[in-house]
Amino acid sequence: MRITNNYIMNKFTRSVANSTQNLTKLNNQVTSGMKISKASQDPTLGMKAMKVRRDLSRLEQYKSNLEDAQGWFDECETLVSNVKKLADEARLSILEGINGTYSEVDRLALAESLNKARDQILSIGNTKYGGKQILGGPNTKDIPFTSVSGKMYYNGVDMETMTEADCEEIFVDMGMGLTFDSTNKVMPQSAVSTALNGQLIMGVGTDKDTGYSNNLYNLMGQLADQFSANDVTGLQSGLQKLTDICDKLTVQMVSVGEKCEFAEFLANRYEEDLFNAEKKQSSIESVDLTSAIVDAKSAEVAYNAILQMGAKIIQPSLIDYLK
Amino acid sequence: MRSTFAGFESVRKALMASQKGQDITAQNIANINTEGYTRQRIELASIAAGSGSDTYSVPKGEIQSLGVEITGITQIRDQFLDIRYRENTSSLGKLDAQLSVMQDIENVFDEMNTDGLNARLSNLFNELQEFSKNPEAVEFATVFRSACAKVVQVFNQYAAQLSEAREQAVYELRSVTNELNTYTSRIAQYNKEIRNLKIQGYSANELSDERNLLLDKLSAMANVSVVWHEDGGVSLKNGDEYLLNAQQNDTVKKLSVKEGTSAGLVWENGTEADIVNGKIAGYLEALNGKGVFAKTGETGLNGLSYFQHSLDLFAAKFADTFNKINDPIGINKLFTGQGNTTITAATIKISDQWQNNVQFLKTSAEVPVEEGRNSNLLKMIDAMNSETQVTPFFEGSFEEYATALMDDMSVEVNYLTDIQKTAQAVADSIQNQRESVMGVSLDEEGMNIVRYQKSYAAAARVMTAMDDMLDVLINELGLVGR
Repeated sequence: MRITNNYIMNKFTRSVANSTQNLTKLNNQVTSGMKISKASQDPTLGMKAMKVRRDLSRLEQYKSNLEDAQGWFDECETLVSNVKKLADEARLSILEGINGTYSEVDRLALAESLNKARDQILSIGNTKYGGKQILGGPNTKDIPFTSVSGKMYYNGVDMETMTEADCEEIFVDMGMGLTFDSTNKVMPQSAVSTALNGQLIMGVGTDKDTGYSNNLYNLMGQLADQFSANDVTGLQSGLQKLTDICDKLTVQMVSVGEKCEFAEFLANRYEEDLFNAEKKQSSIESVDLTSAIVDAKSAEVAYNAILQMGAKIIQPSLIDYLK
Repeated sequence: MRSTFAGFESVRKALMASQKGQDITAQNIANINTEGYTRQRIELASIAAGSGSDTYSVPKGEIQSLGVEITGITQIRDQFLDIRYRENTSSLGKLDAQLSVMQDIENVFDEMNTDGLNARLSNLFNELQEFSKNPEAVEFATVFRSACAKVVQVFNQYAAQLSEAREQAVYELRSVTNELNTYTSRIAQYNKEIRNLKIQGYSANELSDERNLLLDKLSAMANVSVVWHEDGGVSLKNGDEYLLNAQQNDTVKKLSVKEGTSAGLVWENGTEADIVNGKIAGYLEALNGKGVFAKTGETGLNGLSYFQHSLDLFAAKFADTFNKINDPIGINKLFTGQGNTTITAATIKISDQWQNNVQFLKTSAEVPVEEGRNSNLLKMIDAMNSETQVTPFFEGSFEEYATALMDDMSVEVNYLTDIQKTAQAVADSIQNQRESVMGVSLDEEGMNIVRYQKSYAAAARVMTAMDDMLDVLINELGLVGR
């Protein structure tokens, strides 16, 4: 095959261009630390990278949701335990009052302290967390518990007229696959409910047999009146009722405690998932720096070699040697 | 009997031939870098012996030829290689054009290093989650509306960029078509001039070279077949139509670009030209390519039409899904088109009602209204996670569709880049083969310099020798003793 000067030039130009392209690509990898700068360089990698980014974003969000939920449940637990503490204290002081020898002044003082405890319980029931009412159910703005003529009202309804019912659930998506059933309601096992049953905690309805209220606030009011009137027999059965209510509060505390534990369990799991996802992202998108630098260096050496060889073959021709 | 000065005739012709040969060598060396130059070679022939009338004047066995004759200066060119080169240039041109348009689209959709539709949709999901935890808070409602506004902005931006890419492609298509028309006219000119020269007996090498160069450039633009005529003219055909008809007075037919829903090239009388290769075909396919939406007869390439249509469907479906959750009846819309037109990627916007009142978005549908309820927001979360029929051909979540669009684009660019590299390599190889046939080699020309110089010197020597011999004849014959 006949070799002309232009032939040599063209081939050389093409080789240099290819070598430069390769060198640039490897240098980019080293400086950016990423395997590809455009999805078209490796489409499958691009797809995978996008999916992992999406998963990471989700996991971080769920982790944040869980942290918020943990804070919320902790606050709920505190609230219930504070109510129980007040109820226990009231019970102890009544017990003492019944068994000891109290003068009229002492009895009135005790009744006064019971009333004070009542008010405290009312205000604890209206605690807010993060700007939201804890015990209000779907009503997170206005205070749920009010006192109307000495009786506790919940969201404007007399608690003694209510019956025990499940409270309305407020769901939060915790990455458990939120789904809706055929009636367009959230399926309970696919999300976490942050609602706390204010009715159960404070008590609803009245006890038909004894005539005492099931509501803690109302009951303490009744007991305070009995103390003022020095009705000892009435106080005995009233005390029994108070004890029952304290037991119910313990059950509520346990149930909130369970929710706290569940939130912590999920939080730990997501922590691990997040760590794995970050590792995966790094392995997909990032380039191994050592091997990238080595490749870049070899490309540089090859490039220099091409240039050197090119300089040698382009120049001389027969014309140079004719006399 | 030998004629006295016959030898001188031979030598004179030899000297002329050597000088001419040296001239050709100089010409080749001078043009070593000229684009499209084909090396020239002098054609020499030995002059045949005399006519039949010599039979009685010269004894048999004494007849000798009378020197060398220059029969012509020819170009050394391989026609077959030319045809192969032009076919390949056509394919390469098509790929180059397609790749350039697709790379414009790539700049729109690629998200490896910048935030685009994927990132904004993920961010929307996160803001929705935060909102669902605090449905009664106005600040969260506002933040969520901003996240929606960002998604809307991305749609608008993508649509605008694709529109710009389309304008750019049409502009380039027009300029390439103009070039094509210019080349055709110039080839017509060359036809006339080459024909004239040939009639007069010249070989028209330089003009041929220039015309061949134009034919090379023309082949990059469209699939045009070349018909060579005996008189030196060249006709250009596309399908059955003649762009340039050398046999009908070199009439030229021009092509122009027709825009509209489907771009194309038309003749002056309005019929559509059948351009399937070359840059023009590349631009047309990239503009008209409908991908998966193509009907029979339309291009299946994922071109601008495909991406523009897909994006429009996406925006419409996105808006519709959220609008339905806010109000299943369809009156209180969160997203609308500009001036209440149908929603496309370019026209989608936050509805005026929502823009003016952030609480226009209903967080729940139950009555009586309680601010703490978030069932609508949970439905929106569910909508973003579930599979929707975004287009008749794609079922998946919104984020998955955004990734799918990026994937369609990146696969296309990756594929085109690879086959363009191959086509380029083939083109280079054929060009090198052509070069080896028609290119000038300095080594060869160097040898030619020496060769013609030596033959010139030798002829001159013979001339001197003959001169001496005549001198002896004239001045010394018969001078016995004087």
